[in-house]
Amino acid sequence: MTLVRWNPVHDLPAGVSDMLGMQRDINRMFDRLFRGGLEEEGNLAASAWSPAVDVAELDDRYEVKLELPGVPKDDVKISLEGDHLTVRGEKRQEKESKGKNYHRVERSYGAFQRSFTLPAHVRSEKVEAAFTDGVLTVTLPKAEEARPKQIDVKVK
Amino acid sequence: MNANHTNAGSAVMRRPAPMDLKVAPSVDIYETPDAFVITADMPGATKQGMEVTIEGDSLVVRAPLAPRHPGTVSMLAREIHHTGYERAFTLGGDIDRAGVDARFELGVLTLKLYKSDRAKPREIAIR
Repeated sequence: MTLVRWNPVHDLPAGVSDMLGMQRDINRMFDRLFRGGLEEEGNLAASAWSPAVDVAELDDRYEVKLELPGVPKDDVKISLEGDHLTVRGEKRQEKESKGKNYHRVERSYGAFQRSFTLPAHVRSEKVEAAFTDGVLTVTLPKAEEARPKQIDVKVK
Repeated sequence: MNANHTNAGSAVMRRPAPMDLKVAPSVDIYETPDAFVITADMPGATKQGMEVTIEGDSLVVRAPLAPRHPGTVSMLAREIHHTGYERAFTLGGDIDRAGVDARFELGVLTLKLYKSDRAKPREIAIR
């Protein structure tokens, strides 16, 4: 038998997890106010909603992952200006609403935009993006001078 | 023994990623004349890992997530913490248990729950 850390969030009734979701959104707003390691310039007012983002640094590249469920790839625009990456787009609600009686609408819709300033230079001509199962992954290879270098030191 | 206690304490301070954190996906639910439709935002889930089960009056949706950042040196921003999705719905008596359609596209699960004939609107001819 393995010992598992007790996780208070697991198995909570829906109302409580909704509240935790709200708390997450508020935390994100605070994170944005007191920027951590990564500088993000976003205009909260311009976005109807804000997709969750992970930014990972690897030896040779950065990987930016955005949760964009229900957004077709043609509705997303990715632009890079220097080290400044911007992802914007729109998540549309299905147009056909005739004969549909909505009981619940929890999903977010509308325009979104997120931008980041990366901590090191990237090779803009090698930037790639892939969309899989509602997750957009933008891969930005680091410029040569930004990669960690290994230097052999001889011991005499 | 004391050393163990110290380790446990520092582990809490470092705020490690939770080992297993399931979240309830956001859903829209709408009704048409012949069915109820549930759409659920489940980015990162896969069709292969998706599990939809009906047991009695309960419909449960489950999907695990694969680790997202293998080989990562450091995380510059982290807003996605969950490792899976799980949500249960209670079905009313008007739903045909046998007739459920499931589709997974662009990270969105769409479940179409057909109404039983008894629950469908019908016009009554006047003789």
